[in-house]
Amino acid sequence: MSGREYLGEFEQVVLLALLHLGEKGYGLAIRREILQRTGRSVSLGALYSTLNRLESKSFVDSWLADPTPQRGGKSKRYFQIRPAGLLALERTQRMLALMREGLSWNAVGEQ
Amino acid sequence: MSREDFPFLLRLANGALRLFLPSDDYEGISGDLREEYETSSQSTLWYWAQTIRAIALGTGGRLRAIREGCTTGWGKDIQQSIRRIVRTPGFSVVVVLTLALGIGANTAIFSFVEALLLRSLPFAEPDRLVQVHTFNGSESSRLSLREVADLNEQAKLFDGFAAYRDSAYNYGGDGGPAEHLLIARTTENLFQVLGVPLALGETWPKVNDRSRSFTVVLSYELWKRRFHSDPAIVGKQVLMDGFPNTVAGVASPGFSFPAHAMLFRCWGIDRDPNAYEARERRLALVVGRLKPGVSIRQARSELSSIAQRLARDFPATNRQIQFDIAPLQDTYAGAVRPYLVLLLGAVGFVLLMACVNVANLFLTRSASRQREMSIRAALGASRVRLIRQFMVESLIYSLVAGFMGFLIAYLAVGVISRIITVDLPPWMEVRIDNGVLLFLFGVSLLTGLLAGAIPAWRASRRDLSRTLSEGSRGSSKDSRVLQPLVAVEIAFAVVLLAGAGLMVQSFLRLLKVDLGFRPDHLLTFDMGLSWRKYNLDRARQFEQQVLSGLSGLPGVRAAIGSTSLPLTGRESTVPITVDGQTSERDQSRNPLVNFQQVSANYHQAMGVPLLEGRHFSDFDREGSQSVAIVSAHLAKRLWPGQSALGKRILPADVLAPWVPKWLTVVGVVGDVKHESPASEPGLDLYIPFIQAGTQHTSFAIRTTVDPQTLASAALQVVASVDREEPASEMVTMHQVVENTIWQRRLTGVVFAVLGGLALLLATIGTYGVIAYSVSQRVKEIGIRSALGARPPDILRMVAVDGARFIFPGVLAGLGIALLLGRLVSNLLFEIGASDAVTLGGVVGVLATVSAFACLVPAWRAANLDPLRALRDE
Repeated sequence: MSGREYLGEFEQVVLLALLHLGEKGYGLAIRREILQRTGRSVSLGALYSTLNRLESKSFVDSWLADPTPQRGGKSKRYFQIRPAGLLALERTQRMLALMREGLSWNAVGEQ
Repeated sequence: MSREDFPFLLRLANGALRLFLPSDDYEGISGDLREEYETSSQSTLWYWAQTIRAIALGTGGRLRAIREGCTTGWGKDIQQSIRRIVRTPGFSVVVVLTLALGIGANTAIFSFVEALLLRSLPFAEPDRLVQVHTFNGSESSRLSLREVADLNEQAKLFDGFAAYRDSAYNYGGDGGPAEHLLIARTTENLFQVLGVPLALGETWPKVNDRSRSFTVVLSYELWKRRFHSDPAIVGKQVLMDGFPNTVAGVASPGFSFPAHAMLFRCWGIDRDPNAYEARERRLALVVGRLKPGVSIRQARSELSSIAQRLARDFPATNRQIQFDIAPLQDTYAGAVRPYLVLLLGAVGFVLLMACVNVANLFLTRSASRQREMSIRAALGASRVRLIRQFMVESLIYSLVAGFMGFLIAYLAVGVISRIITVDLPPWMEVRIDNGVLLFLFGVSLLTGLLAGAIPAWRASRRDLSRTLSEGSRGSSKDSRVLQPLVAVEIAFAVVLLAGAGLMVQSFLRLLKVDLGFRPDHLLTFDMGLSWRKYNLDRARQFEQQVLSGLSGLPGVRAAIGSTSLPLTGRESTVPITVDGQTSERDQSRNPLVNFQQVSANYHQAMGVPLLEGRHFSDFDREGSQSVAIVSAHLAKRLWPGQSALGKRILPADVLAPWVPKWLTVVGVVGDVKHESPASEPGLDLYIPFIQAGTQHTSFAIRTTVDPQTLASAALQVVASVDREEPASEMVTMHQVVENTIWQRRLTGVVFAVLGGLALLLATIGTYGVIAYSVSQRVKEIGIRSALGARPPDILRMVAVDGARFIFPGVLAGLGIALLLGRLVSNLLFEIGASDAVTLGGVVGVLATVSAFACLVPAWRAANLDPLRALRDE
């Protein structure tokens, strides 16, 4: 089923952020990455709900690191993109690129 | 920042996250939030906003997990129930609202019961505290200080007795505004008897209670407010009422006794040291502490033998005087207890009715689910399993209703509190606290169980093959189960409506009672003059000046003064001697009389009618003949069959420093109610101010305009005479009257609401059952019509069906109402518990309303098109 699946807009944003972060992707870091690059402030609830959905589709993996005192004794939950996630991201991006072909932003803006 | 430093509000947010989120999400999100909070110094608001969104977005996942995790068992039941509840919003709203009204009403009344009856007094082991009083045949009274000492010496079953009495002080010695303080004059052992330690210092030496000395213990609040929590206050002198008082200590925070005292001063104040030995000066309220394990009965019998001993040793003062005790708690809540218990019973009935209605709704609906149930049973679902599913649904409804009931109770407590106009002691404040919440939860659970039990039982007892062959409609047997339930409901409604009718009529009759004076357009206030500044001569002058100032105000028809205005609870009763009585035996039969000093125009201005003789006049002066006016009741009691005019009375010496003298009766006036409109009129003895004098006067002005509007003008008059003497308790006479009848108003209002609710529930119940039974019999009705039955026949058939449960219900209700009526007859006023008009009216109203509730579905049945009825079936 995942072979044909396309991703939603926010799912792509989250996966792209994960790609940028590499091995350092946990909730807060992803949130900051998105904020820094796009200026968009997302709630942790929305982020985790998306990450959980991606995980249930086997697009990402997650694991808990050791607890740190800075976080009130709580662990960081790290996320990493999986090959299936990468494929889905590529597929969606490609589809978007195909759909954009032949359009210029100006033309779109004038309509 | 350690865990302990982490703000409480944020820990609360974490708790919510932990409750609602899967553990991985909780771990990650709460850690992230904490990190962001600490590194980017985010606000608490931000933290909570993030928390709420995480929960809102995450709970869906959690519920999914529950659903996936338990495809069988409780989880499945809950899931299916929620689905069904959401799918039938109309049905659900009716069920939840019905239950919520019942639960809310119960919670509201319970919060009053909890505050006024169940909450214990804020003293050590309050169950051992008792109030002591004396009684002489039928009249109950206080104790003398000498008797308190006797009890302390002789009673072995008590740890001790302390005397106290309400009083008031004017305080303004610190240069701040003059303030009228309620105080308690007490013996030094009060704090010890109550078992409450002082916050600072210690109480005065015992000898101060029996000498002219001025020592006080400040309440914690007064110490904080007027003395800025001065830690060195003990031993200092403060000026109260113009006298320097030595501060002996400060009471513990929140302590007050008997209810609102701001200050506790030593008992002793009399110039005459013999006054403390006078056994007939019964001025002391007394609180005693029983030894552990001693019952009230044992204590009573000990006190009784002490009283006998005293009667033998001091026949002049203690003949026929008995001691009695009652739990101290009763002093505060005794009067309201029967009303509250009654209301709690009434709301209990309403809740039962709500349960019956909801059970009916469930039953009606379960009929349409029979097929589903039967198939489930056929597929192997056990009976327990089927019952459980019903109970789970019912419980979910009742918990949601419990939440709404909380909101209803919260609003109701606010509304009802406004009816209670008396000042309750601080520890009796009515609020929805943990105890009430626990009650709410318990009632909700119980409601769910009650409402769900019968439908669950019925639904699980289906005969499989019969149900499947019957089609989706229920059997007509269902309405046979419903009918007795509605009959019960109608019976409850009769009881509640009868109660409402009796209570409301009692209250309305109470409002119409002739108080003996006209309470409208009267503004009243109190003045307690400083004893140091005002001797009796100066007090008289002060009163004359204030009275002439008040009567000069525009809008004032007359200004009057009295030592105790009616219904203020301030009357003082004194023993009397009557001229011509020779034997001591006659003397001892004389009643205690309400002794009042009044201004000359008192009776005219108050609207108390003159029946015989004359009013006081300006010719009654100091030095002229000492005159008195008596009430008709007293005249009849003392001189039956004779005119009271010219007779002579000697009041006893209890109102020092006024020196008693023989009084000649010059007039007889109408009776005035003193305790409440419902009480017997008092035995009143009036004398003119001018021939006596007092430092404590209540003033009243009879106005031509709204009396409230003259309040500040009246205060200015007082201030213009003496700026340092404050007026207190400025209220209209209507408010004074209200203070004496609020329990009945509360009962009347709440009962009226409950009665209306009961009528509504009974109507809905009746309608529901008849409508359901008609819907079950569409086919039958169709056939009957097709065979020639005319609409009136059908109508009669349905009506008979209804009468079968309405009449037994009404009769049973009438029986219960008569039975319970005997229990409440002493809460009624001028109306019997079996008042035929009221009960007849209730039966009429219920019969009419239920007849209408029957008629609507019956009408519909009668006009059913037989063709359509048969085709639809």
